[in-house]
This record gives sequence, C-alpha cells and structure tokens, in this order.
Amino acid sequence: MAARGNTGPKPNGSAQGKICQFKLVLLGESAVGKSSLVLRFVKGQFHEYQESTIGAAFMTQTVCLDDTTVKFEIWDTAGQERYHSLAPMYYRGAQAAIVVYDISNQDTFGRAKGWVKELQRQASPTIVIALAGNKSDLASKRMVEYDEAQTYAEEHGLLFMETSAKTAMNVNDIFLAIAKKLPKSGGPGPGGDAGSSATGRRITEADNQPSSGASCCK
Amino acid sequence: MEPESGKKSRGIKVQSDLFCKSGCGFYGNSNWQGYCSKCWKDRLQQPSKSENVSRSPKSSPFARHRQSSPSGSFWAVFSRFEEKRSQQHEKRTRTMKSLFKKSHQSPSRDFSSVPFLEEMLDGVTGSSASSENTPSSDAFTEYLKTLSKPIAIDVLRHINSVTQKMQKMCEAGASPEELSDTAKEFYQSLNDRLRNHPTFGEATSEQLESMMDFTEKNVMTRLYKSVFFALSAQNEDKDLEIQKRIRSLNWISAAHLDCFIDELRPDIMALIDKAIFSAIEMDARRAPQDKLSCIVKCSKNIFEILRVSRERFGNVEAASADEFLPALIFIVLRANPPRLHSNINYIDKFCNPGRLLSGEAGYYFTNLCCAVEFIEKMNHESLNLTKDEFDRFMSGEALPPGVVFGANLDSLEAPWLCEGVRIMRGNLVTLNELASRDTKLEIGLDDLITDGATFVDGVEKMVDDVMAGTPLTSQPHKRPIALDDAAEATENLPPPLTPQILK
Repeated sequence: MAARGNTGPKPNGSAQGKICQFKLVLLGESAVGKSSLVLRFVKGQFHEYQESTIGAAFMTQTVCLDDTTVKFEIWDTAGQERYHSLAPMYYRGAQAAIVVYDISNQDTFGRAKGWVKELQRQASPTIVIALAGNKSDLASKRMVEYDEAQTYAEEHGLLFMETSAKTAMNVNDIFLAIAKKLPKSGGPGPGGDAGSSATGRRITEADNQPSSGASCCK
Repeated sequence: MEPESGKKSRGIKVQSDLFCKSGCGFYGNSNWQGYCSKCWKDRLQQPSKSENVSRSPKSSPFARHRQSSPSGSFWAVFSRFEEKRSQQHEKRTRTMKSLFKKSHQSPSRDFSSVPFLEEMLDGVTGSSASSENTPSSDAFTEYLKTLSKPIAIDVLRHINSVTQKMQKMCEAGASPEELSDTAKEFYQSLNDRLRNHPTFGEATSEQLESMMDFTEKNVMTRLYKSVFFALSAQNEDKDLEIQKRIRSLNWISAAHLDCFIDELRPDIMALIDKAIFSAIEMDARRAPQDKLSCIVKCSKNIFEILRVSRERFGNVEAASADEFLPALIFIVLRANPPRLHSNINYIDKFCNPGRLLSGEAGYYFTNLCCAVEFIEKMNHESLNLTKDEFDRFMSGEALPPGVVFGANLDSLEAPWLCEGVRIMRGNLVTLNELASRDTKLEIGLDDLITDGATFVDGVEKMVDDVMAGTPLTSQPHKRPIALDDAAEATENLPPPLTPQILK
C-alpha cells in the first residue's frame, strides 16, 4: 500500500529528521465547515505559524510525527454543486483528501459519499481518504448517525472521525491520523512499488524547526 | 524740409540695406555686398562656372575663387564663415556620436569585471539580446556573480546548450508539445544534476532552488518570443473564442455567481481594478514564474476584495474556496485577459512541473484553469437561470434584473454604467480633484510670494533697526604689548632684589 519515494538518498543530505510534503484536498458541500476545520488546524494549535491570514483557500501546516516532519499543503475546493465538475483539477496529484460532511444535514453526507466514490475511481490509487463528520457539537440536531458513517467508512477503507471546528474536537487527530497513514519515503513503512504520484515530495531540510519547512514555493 | 527728406531717405536706405539684395527675404550683410550668405555664394559661383567649366569642373568653388575672384577680401571673410559653420556642425555630431558610444559601452563594462563569465555571457546576451531582454540578463549576471566559479560555469553551459537546442527546434518548426518535452526534460536533468553532481555538493537546498528558478527564468525569457509565437499560433482560435465568450457574458454580475462582492462600492471597485490589472498583466510577463506571480497577485487582491466585502456583514473569518472561486471567475469575466488560453498553455507546458502541482502558485493556477473551464462550459444551469432567460441575456435581448436604466446619472455607483463610462467618470472625478488642488497650489504660491516679500521687508527692517540702534564706531587698534619696552609697567614694582654678601 505504501509507495516508496522516487528520490533516492542524497549524497549530501542527512537521513535523520526528514521532512515530507503532502498535498491534501478538502472536499465537501459548501457550508459544512471545510475551511473552519482547516483554520482550526492551522491556527488553533500551532499559533506560531501564521500563514498570510488573508485567505483560507490555500494553507500549509506541519505536524511532527516521531522523527518525521509532515508538511501538509491544504487545497480547499469550492463545494457548490455547479463547480463539482472542476474537482479533478484540484485532486490531481494529491496524496490525501478529507471529505467533510455536516452531521446535522443528511444531504451533505450523501454528497460526501459521492466524493468518496469519485476519488476512489479517479484520483491517484494510493490516495489516503478521510471522512470527517463536522459540527459534532450540534449533537442535538444530529441527522447522520455515527454508526452509519462508521460502517460506511469501514466498508470503503476510509479514516473516519467526527470533528468539531468549534470545540477543536478531533481536528488535530484527523490530520495526525492521515499523516500516520501516508507513505513516507524511506520511513518505517514497508517499501512498495514506485507509485510516484502518491508519494510525498521529500524536502531536504536544513534544520528541524517545523516552520522552516515553509521556505519553498513562495 | 531738407532735414526731413534726408531723414526719410536714410530710413529707406537702412531698411533696404537690411535685406539681401537679391530679394530672397533673408538679411544681407555689407561684407557680402549686401547679399545673404547663400545668394552671395551663388553669385560668386555663377561667373566662375562659365570660366572654369573645362578646367576643373569638380574643384571646390571656394578654392577657385580664392585665386580668381577680384573681391578676394570678401571671399576670405565668407570662406572663414563657412568653415566655422561646418566645424561647429562637425563638433556637434561628434559629441552626439560619442554620447551614444558611451551609453553603449557602459553595460559591457560590467561583464568585464567577471572575466570568466564574459565569454559565456556573450552567448546569453548575444544570441537573443534585444534591448528588451537586458534587464533579465543583467539580473542574471548579478545572480551568477554570487555563485562560485565552477557552479556558475556549469549552470551557464547548460543554459546555453538548451537555449540553442530549443531555438533551433523553434526554427525547424517544432510543435509546442515537442518543445515542452525538451524543456521539462531539461528541468528534470538539471534538477538531478544539481542534487547529485559533486560540483554542487556544498550548495544548500535553498541555493539549489533559486538556481533552478533563475535557470528557468533565464531560459524561458530568452526563448519567449519563439516559443510563445508557436503556442499562440496554435491557440489563436481558442484565444479568440474565449475572448468572444467572455464579451458575450458581460451581463453577469457577482450575484449570479453567488459571490458577495458589492461591486458598486468605490473602495471595492478600486480593489477590483487592481485584481483586473494583475490578471491582464500576466500576458506582458515572459517567464512562467512571472506569469504565475501575476496570478498570485490577482488572487491576493481577490481575497482582499472578499475580506472588505464580508466585513460589512460582520464576517471576519478568512474567505474559503467556496467564495474564492466564484470571485475569481467574476474577475476573469471582468478582465477578459488577452490570449488567455495561450498563457495558460504556456505556463502549463514550460513551467517547472513541480511548481504547478503543489505550492501556492500552483493552487491559484489550478483555480484559474477551473475558472476558464467553468466560463467555457457555463450554461443556464450553472447560473440557476432558466434556459430562456439565459439565451435572452446572451443575445443581449434582455438585461438581468438589478440593471436599472435611468438611475441616478451623476452617481459613480450607477449600476448600469458600463466599464468605460465608469472609468471615465472616475477619471473626471480625479481631474476635478486635480484642478482643485491646482487652485490650492496657486493660492499657496501667491501666499508664499507675499510671505517672501514680507520676510525680506521684515529682515531689512530689523537690520535697519539694529544698525540704527548700534552705530558703527571704530575702536582704536589694539597694539601688542611689548613687555620688555613697557617702562611704565615696571614703575610700580619694587626694585629688584640685589644680591647681598653674607659674612
């Protein structure tokens, strides 16, 4: 399942404390709280890293996982139905996706299922997909049962969590879970075939501070 | 009577003396018997021609006349005048020439300070160095100077070889796809080389990144004309098509796209203009990353528009893609950027591929591609209109509601205003403001002049007062005191001690 990186070890790079960069797309109906979820993840915990706060459509955040620093590059997509056909352009080359629905709205869960189906059919075969039932703080208005979503996720091999951007519940956890599941080239995960598009780009690092990973692609 | 007539005749004489005797209208000169310089020359030439035609028809008339003319002294004066004139003329042209020469030489002097680069840079600046290329070449030279010698030579060698190769391909009529493959292969091989070759072992990853950037920029800037020409020839139909399409969609307002931009607020209008400017600027840039940075700039402006628009509703959270994409579509519709397809294609084909699939610029570029695709495929469903309504709006038969004719004509915010009229009105407001500032400036200037005059008067008065209060009195000269001569100074002193002999 995990794919090995196509970048071999550098003669002048150290093997310790590597940084992996992954592209993650956010899919889901508009107003399910996609961007709130990411904003909570980007700003809530690691407040020292302030991406230009002007827009919440493109953001980066790093998490540390054992000896690896995982840098997420989060691409938000427009959730309105009319832009649905444009989605493939966004998830082209993405290594991870979070499909978000609103637990207080059954329709959004239906659309989330549609996204999952499309991703599994059209995106990179090794893409890591997570399903997030957002707005879990609105339990009194719940329309989508936890078990229903859990069963669906298990059937389709998805990571699943109910999150709340408002209370920050499970927000960091879902990103960490994705980071764990992502193949890190040369990492502890077993080496597989070189499914190049699903492998994180390895960045040679200068030092170990998480914020330093943001130096490329300005 | 006598003196009067004398005066009159003298006056006439003076009058007729001033002009050339031949009546050409120029002033004459008594040195040349009352002719102007030109007529005098002609007059001198005429008799000599008949005289000397057989002997030396081509020899200078001046030289001939110096010998043959009876009025030798006149001639001498005239020839001196001519000589002086031609000398002055020569001097002027010489200075102009030297000026040009100097300005030409100055840039090359920069290169000579880096002798090892000189030869290779000749290739860079020489092959396609039209004057418009020089800024990037100069920046590149500056950049190369920061690298160590072996690295700079290696990078330059690669740049020169790929540029020449692609230039030849262009001349041979290679398709943009073939060119794109060559460019991408080059990026890949250079990247591998930078990461693995021992020459670059000491360079940090940041240096390697910037080396890649500079290489890409330099190569593509040099090849831009030929490559972009091939691309735009291929995409011409598509370019025109989308341009026409966007024109026919001019009735779409922000509300149709579900984006909450209050396009009638002056501050937002200014921001929209900025975003539109960046979108149009893309066509003027050459290197793919420069074009990309225009897109990023445009996108940042759009976020600013959204932020300002949302503040009104008390929404302070940053805008997400749900709002951004519609706003981008709206801006593209308003801007109608020139050669849109060619530019997108160019970035897609000749940019370092890593730049497009990840990174901020890649994200915004993807959004732009999406916006273009959406515009191309837009139909009544995507705007939540009935088919009938959509067709009528497209044909210009009807205008969507909200577009009211005869609204407040003088208001800048009149919603019916087309782009040109709106800009014109904006300009008129600016002009009025400028006029009022001009008036203010004039008033201020008058004040300043008065102030200046009063100040001078005041100072004069003060000086006068001080002068009057303290009349000039000359003090007696101070004489140096000669201590030895000062007899009177020693007068009051006790007599000096005299030595006494003690027994």
